[in-house]
Amino acid sequence: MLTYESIFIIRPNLTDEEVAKVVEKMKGVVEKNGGSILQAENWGKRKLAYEVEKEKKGTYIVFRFKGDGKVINDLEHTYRMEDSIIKFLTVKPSKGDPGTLTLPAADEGRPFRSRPGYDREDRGRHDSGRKAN
Amino acid sequence: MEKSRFTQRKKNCRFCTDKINQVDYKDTSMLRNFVTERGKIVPRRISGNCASHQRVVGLAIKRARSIALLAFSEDR
Repeated sequence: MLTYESIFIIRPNLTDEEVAKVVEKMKGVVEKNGGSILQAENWGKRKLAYEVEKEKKGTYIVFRFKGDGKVINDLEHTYRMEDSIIKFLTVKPSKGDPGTLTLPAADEGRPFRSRPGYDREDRGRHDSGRKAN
Repeated sequence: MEKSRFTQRKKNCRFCTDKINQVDYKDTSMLRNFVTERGKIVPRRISGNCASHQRVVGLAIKRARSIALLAFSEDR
């Protein structure tokens, strides 16, 4: 039995009750397969970094569970079957992971600033020395 | 002391200095330091990361992209 972390995005048009229902369903899937939920977190509605299935926003649900491969197979199968889920990701946390599921607070670090002409849309590779165009 | 125009100061791996060994894909504010405005991963040569930490950061960025926390490419 290993610990896994699973995250999925629900369509934004669902009501809170409907969201809770989906979450309960997923928890049920984990438990049905002999796993156990360790933590669960609802991040609420967030803007997506890119459009997914015509949606620009989504409700993020993150949770950790203990279980084996069977749980993941069934869980991901259920994700795919569930129309309200537009994206999901299941990962094995690395060693020494603190196990926090809340989204880390936005920003203090200095954002990366690229030099002009460094990050051009028409180039796959970096090219700093030459002038753009 | 005159330095050549191309000499750069030695960059140290930020994670080695802080003794951080794992990077969370959920930590987008931190990951944003390692992607360009367009969303590309900043190369090691620029970011100064050591090889092992660059791999860890790269993996975290790719995971964050896959769950729409970071963009694959950003239009300006």
